[in-house]
Amino acid sequence: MIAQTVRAHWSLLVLTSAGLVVVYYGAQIAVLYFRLGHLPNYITAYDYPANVARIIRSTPAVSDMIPIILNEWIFEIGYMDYDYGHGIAEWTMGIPPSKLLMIAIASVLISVNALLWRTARHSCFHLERRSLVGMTGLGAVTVGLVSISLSWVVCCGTPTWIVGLALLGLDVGLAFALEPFGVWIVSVGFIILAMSTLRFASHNLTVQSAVRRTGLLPEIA
Amino acid sequence: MLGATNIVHAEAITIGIGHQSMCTDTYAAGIIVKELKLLEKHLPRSGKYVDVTYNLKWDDYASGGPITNQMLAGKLDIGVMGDYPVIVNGAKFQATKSLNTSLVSSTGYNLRGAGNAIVVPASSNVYSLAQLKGRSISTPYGSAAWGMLIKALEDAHISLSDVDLKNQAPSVGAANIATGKIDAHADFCPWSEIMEYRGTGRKIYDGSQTGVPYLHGVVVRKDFVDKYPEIIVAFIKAIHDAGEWLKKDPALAAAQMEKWTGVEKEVLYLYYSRGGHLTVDPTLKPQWIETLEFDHGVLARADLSPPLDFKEWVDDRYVKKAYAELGLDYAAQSKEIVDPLIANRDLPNEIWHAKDGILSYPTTAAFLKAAADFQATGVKINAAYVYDHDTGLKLFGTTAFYVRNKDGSYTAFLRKDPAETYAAKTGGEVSTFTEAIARQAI
Repeated sequence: MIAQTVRAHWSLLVLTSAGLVVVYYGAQIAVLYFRLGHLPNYITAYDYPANVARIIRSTPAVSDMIPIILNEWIFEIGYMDYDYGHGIAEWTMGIPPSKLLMIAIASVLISVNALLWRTARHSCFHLERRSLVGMTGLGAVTVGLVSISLSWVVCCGTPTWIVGLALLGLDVGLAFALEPFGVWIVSVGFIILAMSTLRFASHNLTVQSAVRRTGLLPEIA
Repeated sequence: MLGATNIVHAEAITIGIGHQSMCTDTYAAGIIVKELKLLEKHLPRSGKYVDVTYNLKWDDYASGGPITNQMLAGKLDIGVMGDYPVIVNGAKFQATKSLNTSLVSSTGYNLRGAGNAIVVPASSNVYSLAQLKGRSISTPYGSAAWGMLIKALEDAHISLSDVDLKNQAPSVGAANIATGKIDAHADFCPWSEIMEYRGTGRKIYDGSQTGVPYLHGVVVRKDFVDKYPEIIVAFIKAIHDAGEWLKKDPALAAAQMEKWTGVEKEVLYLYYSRGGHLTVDPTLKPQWIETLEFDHGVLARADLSPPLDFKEWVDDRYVKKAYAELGLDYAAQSKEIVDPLIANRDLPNEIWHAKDGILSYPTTAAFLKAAADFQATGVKINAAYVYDHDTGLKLFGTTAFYVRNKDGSYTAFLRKDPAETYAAKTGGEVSTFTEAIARQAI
């Protein structure tokens, strides 16, 4: 069912997924604009392959290498405040490919769910469809929050999603308390998203077989 | 240790150095070394370094955290940062399986902890920490200023739940102080002084009140220092030279550093002049290690730092070697600690005259009289400096509080409360700078 939907609507799927990624990063900039009052005024691109090669060369243990590579940025967008010194980066949104990939996967799942929902919208299982939409939303928000990649001048290399939560107005202490659970939270988010996709698909299968059997839509059958 | 026998002939050695042009206390190992090319002067060029080509890569960062990240990623070999970030650097590296850094040198210190401070908007009616109960305080979370704030609140028996603590970058905090959007902002050097100098903020608490020294240090990737120990020795010699350059003509140095960093020279003079906040000294004193251990405890309690084995991390062999090669007495220097209360006792107050440069006044009364005269004749003064009676810290004369004693002399204070206590004891009268010079003009 999922493969069938993807095959049937692959161009729409690519478009909506890419759109969701853009909306996600655009939303982070919007939050920063409303919280701090400035649009970004600089962008830096990094030589990601060269940087990864350097990390591999300079890090003996593979177990150390991986988390360092995962933190490597490909782009940095930020606001430089020139009122102080020769300019100081007030905030930055770094885009590490690892997080970009997570957001891209989440976006694909959300898009697939939307397509499956569209197919199932004529069925009678309104309550289930509503709960599946809710699950998709919950999974998306969970993955989205942990994938925030904002940072600003703090001295201890604070994980960027924690900074993002604090910027969104969450109490600083609470944001830090959540930090150790980042991997778990994002995993739960993906599980919820994947489950909702599977449930949508099985629901649509049921609808499809009912249509095949009776020639009518389920609510009529 | 320094007997590594790597053959480095005809090699190009890239040295990545992360520094902070917006963190004053790092300049002696950062911007000064870079701009005066002091490292180039000392880099080894004999023996195994014959024919070596050096490629120096200086990267400027807004704080220590990103420097640590870049060191982990192998882009930087040397990092210069404040006490809290430097601890996190060591701990983060020790938390890995295969990487490590060494703390090889200090850059400078203030024995009493000046450099961090809590500032309120200039027009605020808040004069003490106790008045901040129920109000909002922002700080860059996890920074040295944050550590100072936590300790200050603890000492004042103010619970964290009694204040609305916000995480704000220095420039955001400074802008919010200027517009009165936040009740107080705690920050590291030179942000508090920038706010005071610009007339937007007023200190109500100085880090010196915590009694915990404030210092900065140099960390080096272990693989780099093991391979090129002579380069690290050269780097420490450059730090020493930077200190000598600063001592030679602080006003000129401040003006020069303003060009390099964009930080106002009058603010930099407060740090680097005779009696200023910062004592430039590369030695790793035992007291500093105790201080860093204390700071690590603060970070660990807040879950902001993994464990750190200080014995493994601190390595004073290179700074000792640098001192020996410069013909200096490391043991004597490492025992020498400048206490502003003692060292600044008899220092003259100063006015930075826009045309005539630094002018000195032996008494605070003479200083206020001169300031009044300059004001009356419309002469522009860049800044004025006095010393806090209680701590010996150098202050901007314009933000200090003055007690006019019965004999007509004046005593300067950083904060209003101690000035009032002193005045009550001695029968004196408290005034602001404006009030004090108005009295001189009468």
